[in-house]
Amino acid sequence: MSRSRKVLVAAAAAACLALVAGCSSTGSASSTSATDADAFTYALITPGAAGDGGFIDSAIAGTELAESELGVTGRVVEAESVSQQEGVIRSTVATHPGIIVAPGLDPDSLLAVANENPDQLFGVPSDIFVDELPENVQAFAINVHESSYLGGYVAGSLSETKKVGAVLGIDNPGLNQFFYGYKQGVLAACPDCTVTPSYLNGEFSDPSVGQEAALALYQDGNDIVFAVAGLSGQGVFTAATQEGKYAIGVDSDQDSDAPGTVIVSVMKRVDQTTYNLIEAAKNGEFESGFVSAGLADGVSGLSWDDGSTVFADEGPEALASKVPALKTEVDDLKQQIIDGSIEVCDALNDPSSDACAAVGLEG
Amino acid sequence: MSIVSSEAPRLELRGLRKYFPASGVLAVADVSLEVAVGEVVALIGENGTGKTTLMNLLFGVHHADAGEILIDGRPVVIRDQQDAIANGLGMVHQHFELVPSFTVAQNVLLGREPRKRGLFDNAEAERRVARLAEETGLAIDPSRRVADLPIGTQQRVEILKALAADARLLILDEPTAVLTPSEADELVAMVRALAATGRSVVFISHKLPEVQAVADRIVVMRKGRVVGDLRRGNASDAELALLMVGREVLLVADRNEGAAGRPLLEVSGAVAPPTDEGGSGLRDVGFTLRSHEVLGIAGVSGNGQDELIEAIAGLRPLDAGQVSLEGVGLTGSSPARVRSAGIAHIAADRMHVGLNLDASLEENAASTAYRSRRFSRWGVVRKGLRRRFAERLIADYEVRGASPTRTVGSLSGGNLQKIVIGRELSGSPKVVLANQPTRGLDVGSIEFVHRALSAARRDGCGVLLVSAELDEILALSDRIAVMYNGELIGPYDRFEVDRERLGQIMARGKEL
Amino acid sequence: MNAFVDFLNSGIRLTTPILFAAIASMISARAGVLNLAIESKVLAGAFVGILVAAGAQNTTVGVVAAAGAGAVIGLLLAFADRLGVDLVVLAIGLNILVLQLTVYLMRSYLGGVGTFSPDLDPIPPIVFPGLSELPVVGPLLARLNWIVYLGFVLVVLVALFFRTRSGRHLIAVGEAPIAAASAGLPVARTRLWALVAAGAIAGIGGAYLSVGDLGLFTRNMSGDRGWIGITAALLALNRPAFILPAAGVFGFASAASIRLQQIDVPANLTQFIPQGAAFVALVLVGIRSTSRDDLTRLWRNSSRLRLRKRLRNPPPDPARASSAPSGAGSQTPDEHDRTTHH
Repeated sequence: MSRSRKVLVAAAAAACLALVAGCSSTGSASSTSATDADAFTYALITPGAAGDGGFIDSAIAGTELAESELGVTGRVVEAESVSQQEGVIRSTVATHPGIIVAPGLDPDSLLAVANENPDQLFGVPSDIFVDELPENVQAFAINVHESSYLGGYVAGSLSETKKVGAVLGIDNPGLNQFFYGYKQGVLAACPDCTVTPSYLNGEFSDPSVGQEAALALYQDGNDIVFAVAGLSGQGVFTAATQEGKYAIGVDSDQDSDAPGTVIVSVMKRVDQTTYNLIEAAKNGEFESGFVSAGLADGVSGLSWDDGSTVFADEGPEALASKVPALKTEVDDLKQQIIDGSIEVCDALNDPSSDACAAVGLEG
Repeated sequence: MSIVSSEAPRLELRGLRKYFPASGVLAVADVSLEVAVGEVVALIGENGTGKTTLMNLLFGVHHADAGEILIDGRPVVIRDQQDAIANGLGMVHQHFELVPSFTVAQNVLLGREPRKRGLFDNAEAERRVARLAEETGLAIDPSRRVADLPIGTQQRVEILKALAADARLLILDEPTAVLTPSEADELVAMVRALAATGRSVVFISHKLPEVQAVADRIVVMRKGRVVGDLRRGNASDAELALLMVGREVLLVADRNEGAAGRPLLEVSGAVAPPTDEGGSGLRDVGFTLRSHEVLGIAGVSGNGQDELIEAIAGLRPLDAGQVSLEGVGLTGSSPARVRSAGIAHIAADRMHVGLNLDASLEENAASTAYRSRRFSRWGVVRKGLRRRFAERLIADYEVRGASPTRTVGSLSGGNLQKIVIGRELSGSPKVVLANQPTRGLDVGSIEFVHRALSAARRDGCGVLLVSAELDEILALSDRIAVMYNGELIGPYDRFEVDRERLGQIMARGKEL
Repeated sequence: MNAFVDFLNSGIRLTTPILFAAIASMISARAGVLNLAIESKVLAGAFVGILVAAGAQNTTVGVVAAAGAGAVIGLLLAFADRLGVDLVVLAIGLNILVLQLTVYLMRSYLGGVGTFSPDLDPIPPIVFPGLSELPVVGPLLARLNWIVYLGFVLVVLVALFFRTRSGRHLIAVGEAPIAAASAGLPVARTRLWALVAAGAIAGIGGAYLSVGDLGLFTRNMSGDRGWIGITAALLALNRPAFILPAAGVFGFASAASIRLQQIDVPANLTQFIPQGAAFVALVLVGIRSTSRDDLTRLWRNSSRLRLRKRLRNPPPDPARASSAPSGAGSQTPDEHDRTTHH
């Protein structure tokens, strides 16, 4: 009798401790201030714990911005495994928030619950890979290929070895959207450059593996590596620092993660789209369907546009001195992309385009 | 034979007493005992008579309330096992305490390994153990892995381990329980040889023949007291048994005569693969069991007995052959169907197969028939019926220390077997499969089991009795068959065979 | 040729943390504990290591602290073991707890969300004068710091330890605790030290990740290396002679999956290499039924009632003894029956 009891106690104790820690880790985001009964509410369901250094943290930042700017309240719910997600979405629906923001969840679960609850608004701040959306779902598609093109152009302009690389978390259309835009940008600046990808088996939180992958690229003669691998990207920066080479960051402004080594960051503003979704729902401007957002909306772009001068200030003189002129060129290219005079390969949504064929993507 | 000198006895116990206040049990009551140098003393008694408590006092597991322990005439205080070992006591348990992946030498010298340059010196260890084996006449290869050795040899390793710790008094707890008959004979010879080197031995057992063979003196315990202290040859088996149980025991169960009746269980052409433990499977086994009959299956364990019983009980599929009860085919039936057809099964392994030790007595008592109308209505177990049945079982079968709601794990082997038998016989079975029903039981419990089986036979059951004890087979059976290497030889009528003839068949699979 | 040497060099680095985890798992297993908390020890080592190293501005102090952090978790397991808590359940809880705790502490006190990147130079690689300039040897030994070499030395030390008297006692305790106890070996203390040592070693493996190479900490940075280490130890049949190659299988598979992409092996193929290696390794282990027995025996040993209570503090009276499971040698059945003679 005593043994089974002890097992239970141990399990319960461990579970409680884990819960305490787990709750606290999201506590700062969910600690809502004023509980105005009429205040607009949101719920953010994330497919993992805060602290991914990527879109989850970014979405949480968006909700925090919405709380302070719009006076809304809400909470963050984690649904770590796909099997939990449907249940978590359902129980969240039962609390009737004004909008449920759901980045990166299993699309089948999300759409199933959305279809059953037509009165509940859902917002997807970045990328849901389905063909059609129900009336109550709005999803952002962020044009990261465009900003990656600009990042690639910077890399192609600054590469001395005429070889640049990219470390990507996994080989899928979502990440290839970054890579082929980047590649096209590199070749636009430097037609005889080579661009080499290195994929990490889906390891998005293993900097040690990112470091080895980047090291392999640097040893192969590449001097700039684009890190599109979540936390594993930190290892790319380390390798660049150790080898005296350079890197390009992704998602958020990572320029100061390795000052003087990270040249620029390709931004994917999930915080912005999260904020936009909550704002639209609050103001009754919610529109269903896909919303394509990119350079023109400030949802994608380069960290330089947000005023980052870390590399210009701390990078080696030979390269840093080129930054101001390069920034002017990049601004010009950005305008051409917005105009439509430059078509950038979109490996996610339009892989069979001419632009993609030109950079070697087999649609 | 033995060297009984005039020096102080190797071990002397003076007025040892141990009382367990919580249960109010006086486990050891004023026991005085001497073991001389080079003497073999057999300590016999039923289970629960204080033999083990006495040994636990010697090994510091318990501490005596009163009395003295003297070793070589010197009073000693034994706080724990290490004290006991330091005082020259050595114990060989029924369950060996060996490290399976270590060699003989590594086991024997565990805790006192020789070293060379800081590392374990295996060569030296093997030399030392070989020397010790030679000195004591316990032949063994020190470099063999213990896991690869037969049980009898493993026991030898245990003995050597005690001797390597300089044990001058060796206690062997039920040493032959795990041995084959020939290994048991070897053990007796070894013990005599050790005694000849001046070491003393206490031999705990309840098998009377081997006790008579090995001991210089036989000490009988009952209810915490020494009730007999006899020199070898001064008492017959029957007298010893009487001392142990305090009443007359039927060493030979009464076989109430009466012709066997109609055929009940028929097995034909049964073929089965061996058990995982390395049995020999079944090869074309066939026989008929009749009512009012005990059919004894003799044979050395592992010759297909378990496979046969399990195949009939529905626990093991047959590759070929038929099983039927009163003409109704049961081949490949589930255990539940076999039971409801009227076949009761007293499993060899009462600890794991026969009972659930973590469940209460009433749950165990009803476990094979909880769906019958005896215990349930409309599919719901009726606890009242079950409780009354359990209470009756406790009373009828004299299950000591039991209550319906307590878990049965705390009961002794004999009482556990009473529960199994009470349960199995209560459903008025037609056939009883009894696999090793008395293994590990004390004399009183054995007598009880024998009476229960005889009663079942008198009531018209057919009893299929598998036993490794030839005497038990001979005492109870109307007909006797022998299993050898998966084949059934016989059956013979009880009066056609005797011990010697059966022994030959068991050993060779045929007669000379 | 150079690419191949670079591959080997990368494989050595990727093997190192796995090797530490594997050694930790092996020591625990040999002491009779199925230690599933290695992952949390690695992670705790990585976290505490960088924290202390940053605070003290000294990587060596950080590594020592990481070993201490792992040892504390080992100590925790040992005490839980003594209380009779199921270690398998506890270990799984610990793995979750440490992961969440590091994230929580990072958020609350270190300002970082996913990454803690203090101002700290990671441990510098060891440069052998003369050797480093040689063509093959130089690149092979480049970028390897002292923790890498410590891993190799540790394998030899553990192999030697298993041949000492104490090492033999550890193995006996793990394999047959009752036999060990009856031979006078301190079973509980041996297990405690084994768990503490295993914790410290796993902690150093974690420190290699954070302090040793990257100079930063990220959420869940152990990245299953604790589990891979357990697998590697199983693959090595918990023998020191095989532990280095077994850990190497996983480290080099990981390196291969990265490096082969440079010679245009498609990524969808190279992605399969680490998983494939793990799968093949586990199948090999599975085929050896003896090692499966080892595993199940370990499982049983690690989660069964502690024998110490029976051997050291035998129940004072038979009434209470009767509630303990049988099988403690021969002392129990006799007393149980005593009550029946009333």
